[in-house]
Amino acid sequence: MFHRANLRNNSKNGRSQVGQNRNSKKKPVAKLTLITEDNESFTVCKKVAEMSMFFKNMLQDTEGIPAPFIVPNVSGYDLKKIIEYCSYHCLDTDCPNDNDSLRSRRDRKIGHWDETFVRNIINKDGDPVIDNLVGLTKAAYFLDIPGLIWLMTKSIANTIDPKPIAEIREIFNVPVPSEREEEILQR
Amino acid sequence: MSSLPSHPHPPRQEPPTSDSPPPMRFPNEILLEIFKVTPQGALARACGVSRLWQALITPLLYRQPDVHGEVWWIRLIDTSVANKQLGALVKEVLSLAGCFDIGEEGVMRVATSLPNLKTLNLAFVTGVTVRSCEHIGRTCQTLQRLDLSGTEVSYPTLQSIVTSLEKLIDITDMTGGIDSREQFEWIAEKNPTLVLIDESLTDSESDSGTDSEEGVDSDGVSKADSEDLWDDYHDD
Repeated sequence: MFHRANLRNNSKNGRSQVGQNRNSKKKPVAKLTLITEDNESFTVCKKVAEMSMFFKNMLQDTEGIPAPFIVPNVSGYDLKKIIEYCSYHCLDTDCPNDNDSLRSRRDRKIGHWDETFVRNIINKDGDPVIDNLVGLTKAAYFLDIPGLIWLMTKSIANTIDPKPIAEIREIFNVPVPSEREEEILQR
Repeated sequence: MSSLPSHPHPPRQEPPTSDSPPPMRFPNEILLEIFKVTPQGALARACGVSRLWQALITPLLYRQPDVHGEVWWIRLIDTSVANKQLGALVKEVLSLAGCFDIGEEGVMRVATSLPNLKTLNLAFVTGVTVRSCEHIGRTCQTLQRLDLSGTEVSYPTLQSIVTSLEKLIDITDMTGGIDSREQFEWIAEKNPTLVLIDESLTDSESDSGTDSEEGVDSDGVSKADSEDLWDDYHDD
């Protein structure tokens, strides 16, 4: 009984604190509504959206929150994943999100959270599903999120690293070249 | 959706699909991003996947060749001499640091076959002589950074390098060949963008005398060192 009372008390306190916080905030958190190509809509904080250089520039140019914004070239699944990534990393100062420190970096290691994030996109057996990878990487590229581009490309690079050529072809949907072409490539 | 009639970019219409959807493929620019973070060994193998991949990967492989040990630099130079196009792809960095066995001829072949190089590291390379330095000055016009630490470069050689390479912004450890403050200032004047690393010479006038002696000393030491290493190599 005592425990339950205590718990209830705690939860009450917690709730009242949240309420206070909500009341004390005069300015509402700037939010942005995004609508994907396949008509799924997402509402995100400005800070999360600003992980994408595409949105950052757009918000700077328009100086304010525009009406719901239709994101071309990006599917609902991809945008959901991107928002998941951005919400986690927008508060993370250790993880750089600019091109200079990320592009073409072979030596950086993938973090723990990022690894799980990518593993969930790749299917259960550990074999990459090209459709998800292509879609998400393209979307990250289009929205210009340097951290995610690096993460995706690095993960793909890691998956092709130990694989023989035939398997790489299979993963990447590259048609098998004719024997004569194969000979040329071997040189 | 009806609330957004004014938006200039309506969602694109899906193109009419055939029986089976076309296989998803990475666009070339994303493939390139992937190859930029792929380890060199895997890249070399991935060249065999398709002609497109080979075309995308080859410039990356040659851009910053991984040269360590004599076998690799000889192979690199041989392919570059045989195929001028490949040599021209080596644009960024070439480090031959510690390749003791590159003689004067070797350094000259490197300079001839890789004309687009921006950074060249020749630290402790025995082949850095007056002749090879002049050759570098003639052929590697795009060179921006040159590391000559631990080599026996004299002041006149430094002069000729600084005069001929107009784009040079950084020579590392040029102190070995500089004996006086005047020589130092001549180089600083000749190429104002040059980063002068030697702090002891820029410090104060009074120190310059002793510094120049130290410079000679260190030069002598490095010469002895490199000769020792050369001997060791031949003994083996």
